Amino acid sequence: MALEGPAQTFNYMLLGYGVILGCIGVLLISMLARYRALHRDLRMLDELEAQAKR
Amino acid sequence: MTSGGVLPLTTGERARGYLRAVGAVVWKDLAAELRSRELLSAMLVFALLVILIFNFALELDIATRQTVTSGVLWVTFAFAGTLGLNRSMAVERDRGCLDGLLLAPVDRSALYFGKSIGNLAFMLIVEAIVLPAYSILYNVNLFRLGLVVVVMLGSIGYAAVGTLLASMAVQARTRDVLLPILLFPVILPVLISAVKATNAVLLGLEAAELWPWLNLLIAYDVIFTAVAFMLFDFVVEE
Amino acid sequence: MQPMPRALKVLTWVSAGLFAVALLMTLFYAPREAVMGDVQRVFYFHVASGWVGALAFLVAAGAGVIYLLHGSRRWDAVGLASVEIGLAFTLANLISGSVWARPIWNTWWTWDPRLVTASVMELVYIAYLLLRQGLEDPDRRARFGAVYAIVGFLSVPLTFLSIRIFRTIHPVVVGNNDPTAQGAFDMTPPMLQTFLFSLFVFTVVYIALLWHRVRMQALAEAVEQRKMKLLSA
Repeated sequence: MALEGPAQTFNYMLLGYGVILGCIGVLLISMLARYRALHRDLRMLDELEAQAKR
Repeated sequence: MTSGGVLPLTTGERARGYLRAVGAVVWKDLAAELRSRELLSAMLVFALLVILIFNFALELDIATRQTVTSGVLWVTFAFAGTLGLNRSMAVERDRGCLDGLLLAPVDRSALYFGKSIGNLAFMLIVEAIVLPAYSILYNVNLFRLGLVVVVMLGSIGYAAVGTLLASMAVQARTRDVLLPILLFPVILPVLISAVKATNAVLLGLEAAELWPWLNLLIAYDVIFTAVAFMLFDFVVEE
Repeated sequence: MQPMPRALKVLTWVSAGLFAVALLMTLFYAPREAVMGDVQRVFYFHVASGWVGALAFLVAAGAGVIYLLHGSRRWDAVGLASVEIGLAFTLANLISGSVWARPIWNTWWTWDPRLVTASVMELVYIAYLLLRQGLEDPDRRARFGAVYAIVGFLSVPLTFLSIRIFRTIHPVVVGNNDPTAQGAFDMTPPMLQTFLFSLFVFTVVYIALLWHRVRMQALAEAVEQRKMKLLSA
């Protein structure tokens, strides 16, 4: 039974791309979030150290 | 000689000293175990219980038994082995023996070989009891030389890597649960080959079915004993 | 923390740009595959992700070796960063592989050597992170991480080999056509170009992410040190 043209797999394609971009996206978001937290800590440390000096 | 310095050892003396150190570590573990028999009885009871559970978990009728025995045995050995490894290394840590051993003027690798031979011995003892027990319970003939060889090779690889990883796991907060997590992904080649080789022996398959697995087991044993022995130093330095 | 080096800024923009180009290429430049249809397009990024996963594994093991030999914390950071990135890309590889398999072979999973090996690699990655998490001492964390990365890296090819041998002795047990063919199709030149370009782009993205993550680790350690100093003052 010959297929008439390629299979209709568009939805699966979207899912596949979504998964890959999603995983990379989660990695990026996690890195960004941790980065922000570190900078917050850094600012807090600067303040605390300035206070300690006074 | 009035210098008061240490006389240099000949190669032969150093080799003998090394072997003595290894022997000392092995004997320490075996002797302690012979006295208390805690570890062995725990491993043994556990292994037999696992076999029992398998009886209910899998339909071990005569037909399936043939094909499934190999897997059941190795799952049992893997789990019991984890128990033994954990206890063996935890004991060192808890009783502070590790520090004592590290202070001894002996090459760290002697410590590694001593511990892994000891762990191997425990595994072999348990296996030597489980195999006949399984034979009797399930009426399967497990008394074959090929099987002994495969079990030996598989256990060597298991103990070689397991000793190294257990030394790390035992120093972590999550020690009990961490060893299987570390060990199982890494020990898969051994398990796969051991199961397939055992299967080949039990079903009396031709040599071409058996040899690739034996070769893999040997290769794995050699590679990982060498690697573990080299890396052990980094795992016990304080 | 030192300001971001210009090279990294450039690299970041370049990798983002390249990624966009690769995405467009896979969607519009590469032709639609004759049998499988659109889902085949996932293949380009699927394989590229797998490639990054393997590369990251290699880098982590190598960084581990260098760390054990030299003790420089920078290499521990490289190892950790590589594992985290490898974890994400291998996950992308695994799930996208599953998504591709479903319409093609009518199953979400096949026990073929590559998929299983990728799963094992993922488990080793996770175990690595769990090991580090369970340790308090940063020096021990670095040492043990290095040791495990090396052991893991050596065992994964052997796992692949065992499963491969299993497959050659026992032809397909699972009920589908030929898993080892990986949904074989012939690649026309545009497909090949897209494929190679995707591999290249993902490698560049990996390097950029690695660099960023290593810098972040240096920052984290500096913050940790200052916290300790403040607490003990």
